[in-house]
Amino acid sequence: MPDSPNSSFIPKRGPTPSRRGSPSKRLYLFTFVSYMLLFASLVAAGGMYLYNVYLDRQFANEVKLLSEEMQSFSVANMQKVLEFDSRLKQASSRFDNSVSVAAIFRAIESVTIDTVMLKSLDLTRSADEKYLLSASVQTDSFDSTIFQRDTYQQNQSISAVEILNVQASVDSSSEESSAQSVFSFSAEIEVPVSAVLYQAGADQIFPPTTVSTPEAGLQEVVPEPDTEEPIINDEII
Amino acid sequence: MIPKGLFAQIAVIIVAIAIVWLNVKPSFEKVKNTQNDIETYQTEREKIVVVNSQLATLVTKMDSISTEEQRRLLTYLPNVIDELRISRDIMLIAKEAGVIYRDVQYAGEEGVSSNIRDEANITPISHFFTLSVEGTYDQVKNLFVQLELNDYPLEVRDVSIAKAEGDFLTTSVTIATYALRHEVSDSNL
Repeated sequence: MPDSPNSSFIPKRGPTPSRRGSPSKRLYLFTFVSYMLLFASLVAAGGMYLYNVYLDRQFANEVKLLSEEMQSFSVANMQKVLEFDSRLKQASSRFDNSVSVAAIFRAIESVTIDTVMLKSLDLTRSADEKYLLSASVQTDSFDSTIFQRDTYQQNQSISAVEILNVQASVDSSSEESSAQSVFSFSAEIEVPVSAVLYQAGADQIFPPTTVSTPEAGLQEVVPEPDTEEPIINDEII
Repeated sequence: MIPKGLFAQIAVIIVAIAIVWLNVKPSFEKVKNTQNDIETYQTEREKIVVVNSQLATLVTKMDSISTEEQRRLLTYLPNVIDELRISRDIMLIAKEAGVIYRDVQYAGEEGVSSNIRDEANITPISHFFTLSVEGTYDQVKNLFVQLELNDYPLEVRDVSIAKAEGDFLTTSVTIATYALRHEVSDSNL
């Protein structure tokens, strides 16, 4: 048989199926990643939307709760409490600064010597700090004046003493034959409020006296005080 | 030659980025703000709850005080004073002390603004009365004792004692009593 005119010396491959080249793996991965990104972004968007809806509801609930709490606040009760508190504080301030004027007199009595007579006495309260006493005093000698001043200064209830306007005169009205020297001076005394604060029960040493009406004349009964007898005479003035 | 699939994938990525940038990121900001607002409201609500609780406690404590004690406090420091009643009380005290009662006059009140020092130290409004009496030394002392025993404060502000006839002393006393100074205003609520 003659050779085919197309025969070639190069051997030909038999009819075998040709293989397709496999696609690049990087492209497949890229596709996966891109679609995953899209999916993730959609999920994130949806999730954020739902979470926002939940938060809005929670916020609305908080607003409602806050509004309810504010409405439950009673202005009337608050005013009542504030007024009561104010009243209590103001009453306490006056109560804590209550002074026994009788204690001031007791203090003056305890330090006034026998030879001294108070002709007049003025007492003034200076805020809640102290009482200022201004006494017009008469005595028989300079020594008594000095002794009286020293006695005032030694008293613990008295914070300051000042002796002013010391004057000497002769008392010719005395019934004795010889005229007596009379020394008069002004005493300015400071008594701190803290030294004479009121104490319940401490003032019951002067029980009430009995006195009738002026028309019937005086019938005075002065009982003995419970404390020891003061240095001075029965009458300061 | 660039395959058509690559264009689609790039477009998908761009869309995903656009979704994140335009939707998810602003949502994050909004979530953050909403959470801050919720926290603020919760904090404020807790404060109000505490205040309401304290107020309820104080009201309960106040209501637990007996009526008698409240009445005494009101007597000690009333809202307003009755000058006539106080004048009468002073007169009765003077007579009980044994002094000879001469006169009692209402001498007005202290300036409203002069007593206010600061919010923490407000003092009540002072009202003054002037009492004139005569008596012995012990009677005058007893007068001061009786004034101290009164149910409401009769504070001695000034005393002036001078010798009169015999053992008698002429005494003039300035007495102060008090009324509540109202300090509650809208700014306190």
